[in-house]
Amino acid sequence: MSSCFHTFWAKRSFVVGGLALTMAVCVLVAGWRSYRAAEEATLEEFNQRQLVLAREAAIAIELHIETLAGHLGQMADGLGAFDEIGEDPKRTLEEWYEVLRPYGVLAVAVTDGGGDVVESVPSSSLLSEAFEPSKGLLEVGESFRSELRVGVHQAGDGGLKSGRIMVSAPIRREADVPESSAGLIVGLFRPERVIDRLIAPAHFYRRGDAFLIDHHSRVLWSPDSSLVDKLLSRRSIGMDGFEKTVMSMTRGEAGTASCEYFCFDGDERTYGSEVEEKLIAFAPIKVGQQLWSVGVWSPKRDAQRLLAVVYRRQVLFVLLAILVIALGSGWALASAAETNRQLDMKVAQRTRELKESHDRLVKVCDSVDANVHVADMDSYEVLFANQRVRETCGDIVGRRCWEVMRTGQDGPCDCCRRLEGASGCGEAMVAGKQELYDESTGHWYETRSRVIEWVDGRKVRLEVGIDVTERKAAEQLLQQRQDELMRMSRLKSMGEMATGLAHEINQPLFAIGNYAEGCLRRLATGVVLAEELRPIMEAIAVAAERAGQTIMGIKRFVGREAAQCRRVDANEVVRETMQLIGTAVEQKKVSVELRLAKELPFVFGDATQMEQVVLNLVQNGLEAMEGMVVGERVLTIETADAVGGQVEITVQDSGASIGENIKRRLFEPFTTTKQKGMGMGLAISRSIIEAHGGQLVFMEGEKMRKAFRIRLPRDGDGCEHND
Amino acid sequence: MAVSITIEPIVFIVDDDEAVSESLMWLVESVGLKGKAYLSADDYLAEYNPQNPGCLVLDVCMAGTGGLELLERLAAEEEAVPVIIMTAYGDMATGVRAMKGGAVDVIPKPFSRQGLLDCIKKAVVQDASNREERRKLRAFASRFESLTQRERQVFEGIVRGRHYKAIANDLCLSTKTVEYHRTKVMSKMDVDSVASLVRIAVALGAAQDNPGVATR
Repeated sequence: MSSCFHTFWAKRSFVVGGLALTMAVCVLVAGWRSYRAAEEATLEEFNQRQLVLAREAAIAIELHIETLAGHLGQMADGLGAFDEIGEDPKRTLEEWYEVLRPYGVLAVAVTDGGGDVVESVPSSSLLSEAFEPSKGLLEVGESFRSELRVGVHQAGDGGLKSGRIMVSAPIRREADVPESSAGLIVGLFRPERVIDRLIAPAHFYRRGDAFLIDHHSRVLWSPDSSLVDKLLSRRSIGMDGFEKTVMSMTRGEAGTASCEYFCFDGDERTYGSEVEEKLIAFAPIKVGQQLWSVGVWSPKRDAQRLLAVVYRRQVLFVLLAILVIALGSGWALASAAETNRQLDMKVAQRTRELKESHDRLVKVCDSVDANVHVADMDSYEVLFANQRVRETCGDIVGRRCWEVMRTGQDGPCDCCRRLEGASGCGEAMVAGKQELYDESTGHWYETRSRVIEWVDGRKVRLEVGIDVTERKAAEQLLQQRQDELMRMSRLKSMGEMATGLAHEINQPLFAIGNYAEGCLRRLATGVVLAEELRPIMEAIAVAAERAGQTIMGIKRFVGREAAQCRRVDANEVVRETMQLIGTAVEQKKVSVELRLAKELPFVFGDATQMEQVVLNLVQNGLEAMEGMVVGERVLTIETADAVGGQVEITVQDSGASIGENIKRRLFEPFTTTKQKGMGMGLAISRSIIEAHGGQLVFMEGEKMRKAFRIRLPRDGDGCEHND
Repeated sequence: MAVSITIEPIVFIVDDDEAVSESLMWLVESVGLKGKAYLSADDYLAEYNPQNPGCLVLDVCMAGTGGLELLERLAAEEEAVPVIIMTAYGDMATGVRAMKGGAVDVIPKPFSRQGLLDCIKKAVVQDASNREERRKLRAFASRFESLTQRERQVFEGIVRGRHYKAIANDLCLSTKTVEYHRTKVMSKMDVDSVASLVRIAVALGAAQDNPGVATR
């Protein structure tokens, strides 16, 4: 559960990282696009502002020229009314000059009909000039007198380096002759004055400049003095964009454009190699019949400088966004990293625990006082062996178990074959037990095998071998002791029965004595018949035989004879026993009920030992009934041909039942309810019966009476008991 | 009395071991006594007749009714024969119980036949004398029964050795009357001396005090 959780967090760190990266890229792209859009918008705005500026300049220049022309027209009309220029033209000109000076007028002159300057103010500035109709602004050939003209004064000397704008008005006379002219009144002014006044204050970009061209693409004024007097369209300076712009301007269009332009160094008066990008806005100016144009240009860097502000804002925003993303993803990654760290710690801890657990297991396996190994079921390859196995057999992992652990075998052990068969039948777990003698070490091992599922899922056999040499020795010793005890017990029984046995022997001897004495007395008196004596003699013989039999029985019972196995009739065993103990039965006033089966199969074993067992059971029964009313003391001995080829001898008494705690360890040595008993009887009896391959069990018989049942196989599986 | 003399004494033998009982009978008969063997106490009780004189030889260890039980039963009988108990060797406890129970002899097995036979003879003789004693006692008792109330009182006074005057004083009688009663008592009791009268009184008293037990 927690591992799932941590896996989720571990995955989430990648997800967060990826998301953060994607978001950062998006923000960057959006920032870039936004920057591009802002740049375009900024340039557009820049252009529009220049355009507005250019239009304003154009309108201003138009108005200026109109105003100037108006004044000059009034002046000309004034002069014509006087009819004679020569009356005092100089004074009139001076007056008008004072009026027109604030409009930037440099000079005012009056020409005669031929175009020669008659008078000018300031004096002599234009006196040498001739304003011919065929030259300059009069070149169009229109009516000299009737129209206001605006032209360009191209005279190069007199310190005039740039073009002057010349406005002229005809002086009309009364009898106006169309072809003849009284003359012109001419006003000259510098276009930069106009521009300075109208454009420069409004032009807030430091490097923005305006230039003025006439309809012949002639530059009337320019901050770049190299352009002045140049016919821009014909005397191209080699810039396509600029030429196109000039063409558009010449056509009287308004608009904006971007062009490249070689930088002009004003001091050196040369064009440099550096190309400057300019943004140009232009607007037409209608001057009389002519179309002039005013252009405002600025280096693109200005726009870009403006753009820098926008750019900084954008960058700031982008950085802020990235910072937020970075912080967010950083937090997420940090938490993920923390989770990872915890996971790593957990993994490390688990690994440590696992290793400790493994070490513990190995330690336990190595320390356990047994040979433990695991072998594959099919290949017999040893998969695991503990310390003890390694000590005795070397490093046997990977080798076949029967080769290294069993000497002198050319195949797997029988038990393994059996296990194989069993596991082949689909039984999951089969355990086997075996005792083995290792000749090389002289040790006995009790091995227990079990089929288990190995860590990789295959079926393997786990074998645990315990060194039971000591136990074996102890068992042998115990067996010897038990045999000895058995003999002792028999002797003890003998002692207990001594009185009864003495009685049993005395009875016939006593009878014999009586008979003999009777005979002797009769013989002494002489009145005795042979016929009378015969039955007496026979009775003597019977009694003597009886005494002899009793003594034989005792001898057999006490004597330490080897077990003499032969076919034994269980009924006979019971009868013999009852003969031995008959006296005690009588003494204790117990009624004995014998239910002996007819045609009982033989059992194989030692009759004396069996008699001993039955005797022991009968004695126990008798003692158990001691405290009872005489009439209720009933002992039943039954023999039966039981199912399963077994012969049963059941000894049942009517005595009080035994306690539960005694019942549980009834057959253990030194368990007794008697005051003087050793508690060996039942233990010895059971060992005898088991040595005969039978069983001795306690059971509740009829009416809850106590019963001991001996079961003996019809044909005992050998008589292993050798005492 | 003539009857009791004519009946021959019988030695009753009770032992569950047939060989023993038969051989004992054989032995007893060899000395001229009549024997009768039983294999259990119950058999004996079934044929029990108090009129039969003789003695009983009884084995203690028997299945069913034991020897000692039979002994107790017989002790309650007035006319029972003397009992000789046979015990196993060394069984002192049984011997003591038997003696307390009234057995005339306890002989442990094995024993000498002569000893046994002597015991039997002695017991038979004793039984005969016991029967004679009991017969006499019964006669005294019947005579005593014939005494009147006043005669009995006088009898008691005489036996206690009181003077006639003292008896007369006790009974508020005259000396003469007491004398008369004495004469009657002496006559009825068939005695000729006060000494004999006292003897009878002692015998009767013993019998009355402990009626079921025969005097040995």
